[in-house]
Amino acid sequence: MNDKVISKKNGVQNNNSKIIIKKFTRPATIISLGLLFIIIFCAVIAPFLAPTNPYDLKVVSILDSRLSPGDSMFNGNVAWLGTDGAGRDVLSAIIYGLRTSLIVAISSALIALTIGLIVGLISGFYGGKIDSFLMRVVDIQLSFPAILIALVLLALLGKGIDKVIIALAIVQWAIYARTVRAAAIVERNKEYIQAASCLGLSDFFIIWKHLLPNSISPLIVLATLQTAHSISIEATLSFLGVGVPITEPSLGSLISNGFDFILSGAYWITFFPGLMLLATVAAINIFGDQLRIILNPRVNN
Amino acid sequence: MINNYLLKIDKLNIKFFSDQEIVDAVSDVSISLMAGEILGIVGESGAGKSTIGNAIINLLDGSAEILTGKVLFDHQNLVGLDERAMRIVRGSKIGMIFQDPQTSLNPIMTIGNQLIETIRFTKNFDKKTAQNEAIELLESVGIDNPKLRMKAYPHQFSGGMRQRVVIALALAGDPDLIIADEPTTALDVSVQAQILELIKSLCKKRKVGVIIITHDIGVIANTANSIVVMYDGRVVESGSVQQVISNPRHKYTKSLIAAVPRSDIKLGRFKSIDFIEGNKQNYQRIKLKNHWLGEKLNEKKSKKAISVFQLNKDFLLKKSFWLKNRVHLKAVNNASFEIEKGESFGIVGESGSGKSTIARLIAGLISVDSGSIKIFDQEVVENKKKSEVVNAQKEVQMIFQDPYSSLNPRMRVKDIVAEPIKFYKTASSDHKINEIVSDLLNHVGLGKASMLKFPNQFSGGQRQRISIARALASRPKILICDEPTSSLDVSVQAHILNLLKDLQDELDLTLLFISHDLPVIRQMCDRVAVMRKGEICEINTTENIFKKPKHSYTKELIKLIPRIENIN
Amino acid sequence: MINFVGDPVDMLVNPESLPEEIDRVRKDFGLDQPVHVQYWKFLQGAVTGNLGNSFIFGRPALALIIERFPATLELATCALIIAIVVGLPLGIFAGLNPNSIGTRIIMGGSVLGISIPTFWLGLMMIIVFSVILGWLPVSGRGEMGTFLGIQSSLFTLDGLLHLIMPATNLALFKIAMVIRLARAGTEEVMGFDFIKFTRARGLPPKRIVSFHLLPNILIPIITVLAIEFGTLIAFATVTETIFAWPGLGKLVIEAIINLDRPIVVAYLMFVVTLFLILNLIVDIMYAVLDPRVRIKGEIQ
Repeated sequence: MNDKVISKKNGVQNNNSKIIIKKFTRPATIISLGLLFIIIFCAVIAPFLAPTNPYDLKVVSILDSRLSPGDSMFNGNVAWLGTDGAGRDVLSAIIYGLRTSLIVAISSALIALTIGLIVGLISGFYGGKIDSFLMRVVDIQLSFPAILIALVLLALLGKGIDKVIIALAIVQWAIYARTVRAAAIVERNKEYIQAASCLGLSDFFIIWKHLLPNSISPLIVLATLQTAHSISIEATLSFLGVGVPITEPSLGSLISNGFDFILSGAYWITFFPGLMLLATVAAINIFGDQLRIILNPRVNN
Repeated sequence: MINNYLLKIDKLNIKFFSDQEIVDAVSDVSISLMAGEILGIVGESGAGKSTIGNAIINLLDGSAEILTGKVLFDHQNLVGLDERAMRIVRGSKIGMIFQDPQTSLNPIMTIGNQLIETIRFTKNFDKKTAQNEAIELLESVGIDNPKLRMKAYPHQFSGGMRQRVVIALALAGDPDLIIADEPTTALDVSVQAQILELIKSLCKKRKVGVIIITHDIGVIANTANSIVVMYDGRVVESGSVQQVISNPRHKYTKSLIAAVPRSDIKLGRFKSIDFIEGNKQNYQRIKLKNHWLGEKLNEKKSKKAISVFQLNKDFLLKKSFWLKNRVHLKAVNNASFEIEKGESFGIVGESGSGKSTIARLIAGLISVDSGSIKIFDQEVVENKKKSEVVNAQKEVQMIFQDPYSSLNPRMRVKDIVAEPIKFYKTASSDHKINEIVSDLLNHVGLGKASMLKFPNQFSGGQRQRISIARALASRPKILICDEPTSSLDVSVQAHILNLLKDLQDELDLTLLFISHDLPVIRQMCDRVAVMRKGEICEINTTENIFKKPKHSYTKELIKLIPRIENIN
Repeated sequence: MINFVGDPVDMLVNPESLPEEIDRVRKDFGLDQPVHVQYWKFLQGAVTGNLGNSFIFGRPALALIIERFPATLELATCALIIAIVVGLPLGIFAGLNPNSIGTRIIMGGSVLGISIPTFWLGLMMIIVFSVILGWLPVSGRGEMGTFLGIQSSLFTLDGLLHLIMPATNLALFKIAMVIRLARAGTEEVMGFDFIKFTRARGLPPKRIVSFHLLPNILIPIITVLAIEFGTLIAFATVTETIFAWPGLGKLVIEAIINLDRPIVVAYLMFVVTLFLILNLIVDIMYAVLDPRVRIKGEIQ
């Protein structure tokens, strides 16, 4: 076509990246990303940030139990967010709990993503019987709610952080597989994949070089939202008493811990961990939504 | 004399506003139309022709805005009319027909109900009268047994039938003007002719004015009374059909008409269209004698490039656990033909005739059910030696229909073209590969500068050139072109077809050319196979197919070609 | 498979019991036999509809499940209805007016809705409405009334008061989901040619929304919700634990914690059957609602 049209197209191209930058600077994106950054940072440096170590039995004293927020503890420290039934500082417990929650959620998401990616690509690329079989498995798994499968798996596996991670990975891989497969099928039917097989390239080469890079973008959003989801599920499981052990409490077990005290008015033991949980999940969800808007080509045009 | 006009568009200016830029979609366009007249607006993609259609009934997308100008319909200026007043105009004064009948109808409402509701809202009829009116309408657009069809859902109709229903819906409110935006683009040639005929006769019977918006000058040539040619948002020429087609004054109109492939005589090459493509920089072409690309030129001794014998391919349309409940489509049914080395062989047929399936079977993209395919005498079906099959299939490369999906959007042009060279290690060093890629891109008419760009930085025609360069990079002997230009504008099509002809001559390529477009086939091919419903009806030389068609289906196809030559 | 973790006998007997007593309990429940014998016995029972007796209640597990199911069904149904009634109009509004302030509030609320941990919100509701304000009862199902032979807490005021908090709590996540589904559907369908064609034919907006948009977005939403009804029943475990709602979920959580295997197994069987039925219903509904599935083939 003529040069004018080309330059127009190029113009759009350059401006697209500008728009993406512009979208990244929207308030919702910046706030969620900032919050997320602070949360992760807090979790990483937990031992330096927390006023006390809630697992150190030498520091925890039963005499401090159920102090209101702002009260002074026996050793003179101020418990800004109060203490729980065992006399642990709630603020410190939250910071440590956040760490456990994030470790569980992120590692399970990574494992699930890897499995889902491989299954989805194979299923989408080859189609036919392999696809029918794999997708039948995925369908069966997805027709049951994640929380239910996780409950059953944990009833089977027992307690422990590693077991929660395994259970959450098993619960989540199917949704990744289905999403990747859907994207892979769309790409697979595009003519550049056919052109590649026309060139005689090997299947592995085509999947790796052509299919994977083009099927992965819906996963970015999904992985973000799923991480938020798995934080919620882990918290729920821990709340129900089948998640992480009491020795290494996550945010969910902290809330569960405070359940016994709500009727006596000690709201802070459940309120603050829950607020932290909400902030974390909401920050990830909002960021995921923003990512979806940024990455969606339809919205860009 | 304004009184005589049904519609008069006066100095209309429309701009598109987006975050990125402001585009002049329509500039200073003035068009007029009388009652009972058919006006064709013709132009290539991006000419602003559809924008005008949407602007008349105020259905522009959110980003478009009418800046100045008037749309006078029946003495009333439609520009700036509020939504409520506009609704009265839509349907009962001006009707609209969209391009794709597959998507223009609500899929989960019976067509009867869609008609009845339209009649009731535009004419305030009671239900019973509306129903009778709807049945009458269906009958008038040529749908048999309309009473029964009222209860049918859109998916139960074929494409052409659906477009008839759409036309009935557009007529439901008894409008004085109908705007048809590419009404036949999504349809096969035979159906296209019927729909155009229907529009023509309805226009006469009901005395409605019709605006047909199209990219295909052939559609207008036999249907419209007058014609408006648009380019880049402006009207470059207007007048009666005879005058504009047989005696075009503007340079763009001339080149547009020259670029339309003729079905009456075979020309050597297409006339170059300087006005549009501006392909003035002639990139250095490769001297084949001592170039990498020419190395393997005279390797194959065999005279037969492709021989296909009793080829069969079924597709499973309806899955079922029970064998007898499965529904199969015979996509290719006992097809046999041979293609000589260096020949241009065409396969022509309507959608669903199996022509693309044959191309994909030969390219090895889908598996064969039964039959034999030989590539340079090497059997590729049922051959146990995998290396032989791979080697034979390497001689075959394919150019695909959709330039927007045939290139990996995440790879640079350089890497796309270099891929086969790298995979088969046909060149030694990275430096050498780079040199070859650059030469190939030059050879197909793209500069060296394109190497580092991504596919989305190119137009459709340029992308098709990249596809051709990629195919050349594996040094094929046979090139299968599956509708290589059907998604391109005519002017760009002419350039791509010229390039393919040049390459065929230089490299002694064998060309298998798949198309639904008979004039293109006429210009490109030595011999043609006509396909219908998976079967080959007729194989003959191109001259014989066009001058002395034997099979009744071929005759029908030839008769239905929309031609602009008739006007001359 | 539930057999691998822990020893249920530990939970059943007093920790100070004599070893002889422990052995007696073990024998009573058949837990002294090898695993494969236990499994065979279970299979024998399962075929005849007997999934074993609960270790804790000493009654047939399946009977316990069926007994508790109506309470859960009532809770989940109410939650689903709340979700549709609240979520659908909001979602369609958001889809039709993408740039309005109302949409921003709705979508912000829906992000909050999917982010807020259900169980924590339940606790907060108890603190606010029961402990501080004292308006609503903390736990239990309340008084039940009988109407048309169906026993439900929907038919008494006390029952309704007991139901409000758990049902709202359970519905919240689904409201957010329905909003998102409805909005996405609306945006998608409004972009289709046939909607543009209805406008070009001069149909009024009300007609377009209720006769062309709504049926088209409802088909996918209804089918998704049918599946989600199963999720509601699963999530009821959490809500029931918090509000001490005497349903299935509470029963099974206690069974898992107390290693009451027959109940867990019976629950699993029950839920799997329920899901198979739900999926079947979805398939049938799809065929009934969508003429493209219901009626095949062209007429020429």
